[in-house]
Amino acid sequence: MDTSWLRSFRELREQFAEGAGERLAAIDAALDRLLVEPGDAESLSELRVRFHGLSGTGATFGFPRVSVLGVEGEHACDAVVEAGRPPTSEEIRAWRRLVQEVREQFRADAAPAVEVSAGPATPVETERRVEVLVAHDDTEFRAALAVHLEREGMAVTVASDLANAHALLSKRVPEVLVVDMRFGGGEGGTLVERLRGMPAGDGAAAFVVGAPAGFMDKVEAIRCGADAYFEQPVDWEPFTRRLQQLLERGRAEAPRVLAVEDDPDQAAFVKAVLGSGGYGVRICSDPARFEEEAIAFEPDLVLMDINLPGFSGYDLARFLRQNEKYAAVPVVFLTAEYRAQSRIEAIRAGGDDHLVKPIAPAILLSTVAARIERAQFLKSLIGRDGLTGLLNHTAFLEGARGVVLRQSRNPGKGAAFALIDLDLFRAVNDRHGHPVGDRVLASMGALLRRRVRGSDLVGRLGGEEFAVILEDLTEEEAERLMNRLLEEFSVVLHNGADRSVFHVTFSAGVSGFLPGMSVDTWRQSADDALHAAKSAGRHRVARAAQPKVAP
Amino acid sequence: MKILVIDDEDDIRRISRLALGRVGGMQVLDAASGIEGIAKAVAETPDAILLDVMMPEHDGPETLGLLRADPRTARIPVIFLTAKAMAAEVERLRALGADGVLTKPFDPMSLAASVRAILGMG
Repeated sequence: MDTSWLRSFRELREQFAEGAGERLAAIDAALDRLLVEPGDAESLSELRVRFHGLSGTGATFGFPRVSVLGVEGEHACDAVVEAGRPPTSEEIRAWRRLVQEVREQFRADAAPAVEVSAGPATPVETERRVEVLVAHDDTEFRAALAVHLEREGMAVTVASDLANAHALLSKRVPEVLVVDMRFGGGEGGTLVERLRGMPAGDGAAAFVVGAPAGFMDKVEAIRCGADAYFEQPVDWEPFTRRLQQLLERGRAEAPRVLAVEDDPDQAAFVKAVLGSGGYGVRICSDPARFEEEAIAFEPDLVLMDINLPGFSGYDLARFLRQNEKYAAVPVVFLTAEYRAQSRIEAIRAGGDDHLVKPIAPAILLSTVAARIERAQFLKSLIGRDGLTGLLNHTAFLEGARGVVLRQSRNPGKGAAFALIDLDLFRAVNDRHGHPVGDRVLASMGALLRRRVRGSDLVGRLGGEEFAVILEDLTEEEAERLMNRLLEEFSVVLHNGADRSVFHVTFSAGVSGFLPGMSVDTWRQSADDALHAAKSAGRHRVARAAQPKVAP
Repeated sequence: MKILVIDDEDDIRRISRLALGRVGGMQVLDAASGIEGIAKAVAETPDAILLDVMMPEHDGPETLGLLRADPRTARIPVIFLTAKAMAAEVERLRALGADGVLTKPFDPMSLAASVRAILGMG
């Protein structure tokens, strides 16, 4: 029953893609008529209905971009109707381009989206600038905002009026939207709603900034879908902190589910359902390779069939639970067995849940989501450093072990270990007191979080020592990145005691992973480089000495 | 539970059948226009109606008015399906007396759950 659902969905999707030709031909015809007779209200109205139809269907059938383009076309029609004039030839050309792009969406559709599992999230480019769209009339606020956000390396675009803001929004979903509810005569909220209505608009951070407001205004802002409300004058420290938090949420990797399933139909079903829910899915069809797959994939949850060739799912679960590293990974059993005995067995084996086949997709998704969320919350409590929010010593080294294993199996482009130590930090504590010192540590932590990819490991190993492991980066590239961070960090002005301000620098040692290294030897190599940087006068980055060639 | 889907788009009717029927376990009827929908509602008395807003001839709001005016269909919960996600639009549709508003494009996996939640059967 479950797999037939998938087949039906695929068929409908194909039908939709086929029928799209007809929809687009109708749009072309309407555009042809408008070109000859721009005042033809009927054709304009049909055009609008057609775009509307695309916007309402595309994403449902797995073509999110088609929905976006449909909305764009419809809005352009609305604008022309509202202006009470015939469309210009430039507008008609813009519609043609839009139609062309829709057509390409269907053409590019070689593999149906439901079958594409998310896989490991693509790493965020370290250098890409976060885009911020500002819809706020107060020039003074805008200037201050630009200063603060550009310091964080973000690119700020200012909307001139409401129509312009909507146009910019429809062109591209920004990572951050800052609006005043009073913008455009009290229409600021519509921008937030628009953003939330767009595919991928949910992940963006939306801030409302305005005059000191009553409780109801704040409620209204949140109701529109805003993440936070800040009163003017803005206190910038909490503002940027909240912003970073929200951006990090968007950067988080897709949770990974390892499904142990030997039936190909059932595997395809699980992959389709969880893939469409935004999970990275790997299927392990041979239970004998379970350990290997678990190490390589590092799942956030294991979905386990019970009747497997050679093993039972219960055996595999027990095996998993023996390993300290996986003791906390949720295990959900999938079984056609409905008897109480199998449930008892599942619980004994350390299973967290027990779903009976056939499973409705909604149940599978909600069970997996709930288990992963809870496990991640618990993990976040035990593995984090309270001051900086970075991984603590234990959690960092745990993660490092995973990297070493992966690198040993599949070196790829390599990986680099960077060890960072703030220079003369005791003097800061002595001169300004611990609360100031803590703020410096927190700002170092924030900088690291901001400047490395969500997939990289970042930890505070203790005191003023931080560590980063950058995968897919060579030692040289990591050195360059550290030098940029050093430049950035050393110009930050910290507020000290007695209204004084001061700078802090750091030293760093970088070591590229070499085959045969363990976590300990790798870290030692980075530590040696760090000492070299310190003794060369601090405020610098040093690379590990070239390894001696074996005799 | 029996649900009637009124939408002029074939694609939407088909995927709704799948999303509500196969995934959601409901019995699904559909109609391609407001008039056809009203006739089916009278004949079959579904437990709920999913009604597209923008349709040629009798659009969603008009169809809702006709359903509410007929004592045989007046009490059937109606949920609008709209491609306009603006709050003002949702408010407007609610003010017409709809029991809920769902936006298009929708996720076929969770359509049934959304319908149930609106009907208080979540």
